[in-house]
Amino acid sequence: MSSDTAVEQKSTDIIEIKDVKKYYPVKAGVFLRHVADVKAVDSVTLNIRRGECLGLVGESGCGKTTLGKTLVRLHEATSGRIYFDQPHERVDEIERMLASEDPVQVSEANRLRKEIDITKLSPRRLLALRQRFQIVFQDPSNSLDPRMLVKDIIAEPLVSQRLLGAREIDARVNELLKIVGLSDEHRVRYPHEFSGGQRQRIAVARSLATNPEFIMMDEPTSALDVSVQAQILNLLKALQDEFKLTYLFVTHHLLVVKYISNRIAVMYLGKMVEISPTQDLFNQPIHPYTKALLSAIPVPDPKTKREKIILSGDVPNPINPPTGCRFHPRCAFAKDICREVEPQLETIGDGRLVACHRWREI
Amino acid sequence: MKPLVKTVDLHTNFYTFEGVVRALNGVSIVVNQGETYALVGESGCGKSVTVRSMMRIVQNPGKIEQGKILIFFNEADKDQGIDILNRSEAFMESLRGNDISMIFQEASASLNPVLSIAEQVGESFFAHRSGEMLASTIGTIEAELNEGRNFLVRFWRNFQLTMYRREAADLERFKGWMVDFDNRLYELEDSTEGASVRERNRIKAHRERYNRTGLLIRFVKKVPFLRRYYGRVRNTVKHEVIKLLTSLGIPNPANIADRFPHELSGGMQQRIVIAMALACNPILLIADEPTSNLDVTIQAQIVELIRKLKETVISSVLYITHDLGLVAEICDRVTVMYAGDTCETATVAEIFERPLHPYTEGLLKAVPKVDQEGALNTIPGNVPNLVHPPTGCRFHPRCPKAMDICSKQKPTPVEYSSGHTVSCHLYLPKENQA
Repeated sequence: MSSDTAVEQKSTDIIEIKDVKKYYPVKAGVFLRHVADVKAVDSVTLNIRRGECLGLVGESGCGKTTLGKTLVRLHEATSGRIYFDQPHERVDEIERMLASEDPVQVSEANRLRKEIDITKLSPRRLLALRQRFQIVFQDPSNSLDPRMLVKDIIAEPLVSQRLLGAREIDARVNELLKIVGLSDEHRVRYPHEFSGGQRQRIAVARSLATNPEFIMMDEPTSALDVSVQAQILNLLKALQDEFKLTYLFVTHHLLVVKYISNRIAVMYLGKMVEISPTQDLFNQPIHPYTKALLSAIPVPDPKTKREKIILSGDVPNPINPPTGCRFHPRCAFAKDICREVEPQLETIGDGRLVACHRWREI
Repeated sequence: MKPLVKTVDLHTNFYTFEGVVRALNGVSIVVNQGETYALVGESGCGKSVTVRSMMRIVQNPGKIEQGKILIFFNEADKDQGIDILNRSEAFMESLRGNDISMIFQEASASLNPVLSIAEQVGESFFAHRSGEMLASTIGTIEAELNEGRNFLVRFWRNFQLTMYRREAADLERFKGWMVDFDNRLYELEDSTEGASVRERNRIKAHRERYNRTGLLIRFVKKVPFLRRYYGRVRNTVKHEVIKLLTSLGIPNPANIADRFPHELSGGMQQRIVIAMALACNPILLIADEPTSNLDVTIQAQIVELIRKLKETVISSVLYITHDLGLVAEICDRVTVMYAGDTCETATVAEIFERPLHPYTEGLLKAVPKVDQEGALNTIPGNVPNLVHPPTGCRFHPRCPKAMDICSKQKPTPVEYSSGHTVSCHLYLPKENQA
């Protein structure tokens, strides 16, 4: 097939995130002096492969949604690079130039970044690129404009991109409605006339309108009921197969992410702690936080009684995160090194990465 | 197993602009003593309305139309039970927060943002255990009485003591009156005659006036400086609150007690709400989705806390949840609800092994499992609008096994095996179907 060969020519990573930070300033005093930073996302490096569904899990406040929104530039990153669909060699080249001491090379790299780095793109280039990545928000009752008709909501990306004429847009809207399991009769209704599941279908249709390659899903099922959640998950899976989409699936529901993802990235307090293929992660979690997280899932089967690891305390404040490994105050295996040195993500084989000093011993 | 709370054929309707929302359509559930019971269902199926009816706190425009709610709390009414729908509001006030207490769904919304934690948790001590609080305050003042050298200090302590004794006496006296008022109100409950309506309003006004304190106390509480005598009992309550928070394993309780809700994390707020519910050692604890907004690790902490408390303090726990995983882990018995109907009641092991009702079956298959393979099963369609609920069995438009009779007749509950009740035409004897 021609499309397959086209995929081979492109690089395997659709998005490369390099060292992205997102800090929110905390201001205080009469002059609103900058006193501290909320380190929502702190030096995250992550690759999203073409055609996969990468699950991003973590507790609330760990920065997973912030990372996702920074990725599609709904938030401006404080620093870091995000490359969308660039050949691997080119990314390496720019990274090498940025790391070099030579100011000429660094400024040359920064010039290049304005063309390909999502965090630095000019508005016009960004708009053009927005065709290719889209987002589905958490709560469909908030993300759909209550005063717009469904057909206008779905057509909005096409209108703002000026891609199609009015008649073509009409046909496209009908097509999209059919794809997500709604029908023509739903075109001229308002969002409040739909149930939660149907609203989420409309949001999915809107995100598909421009034929994107990458969709960021920000907890698309957390506002839905169990039986409707299953419908939406199956729909998303079918769409991924049909349109060869890449998903970043942000959620805190681990069984959902297990159902839909190929790979899972676990975040804790703005840092990646473990990245691993789904099966391996569930069979053999390595990082102590992942272990605790997995053991805390309530299993819908009364016969399996598992040992639970109950973590003490809450997630620490990201304004003043713990030194060293950020998980050490809640970790049962913490040693002196964990308190002092920050662990880096290291590759441990089988495409797994973990950030823990003591993973070999545990 | 002895029953603790029982609802019989409960109907609750909401009179809205769009029409009458028939939220409960004859709900009969039994919570036994010493068990953890779960109500499971999707949003809008009437789980919350059921427990709100059980505490008689259905909000306007809701109204309990029909049915009985029997409680079996005291030795005297072990066999008969008291139908709380017939009792007066005073009786319900003595029940709520004392014998039955509830953890509400969203902790951040159920806490008052302008009161400190100590004040909020202390409210139930004032409402239900003020006698004890006064007695212990009087005890501490009596112990200190002769310590003060200063004349003023001694005078002030004596004054405090007099006031507190007076208050305790008032409380005792009015308690009897309250019962009398209560009984009179109960007699006059349904009458529409002019004279008895006037009588009822008069009694209600009296009840209001004599609630807790007499005239003198109320006067002193208005006088600047003198009213400060009351601080002692507040301190006692605060000590009790800190003791309670400590027993719940909240770190640094003295500090937390002085804080305000917005300063606490979600998990901590939920723990405070649990503390409020447990202040008076309730017999039945109703937990309305206590963990649905929390992360799994915090959820595990909270669930563990409630499980420990169940072993030591509370008799029964009624969980409302949509998380079947949680049900499988902590509950003994479960009722599945759909659109205001109870579908199926059984022990947890039984319901996961042999789900009988097609809705239960669909629900169990729609949850992603740890060893999930292949696509998830879905239940087609959506939850119906309860202004115009489907006729007959309310599940029939979405049911894969629907028969002709399902749309015509509401199925009666049938005991399939011991302790496993199901409301479905599939399991009714054939002659009834004809």
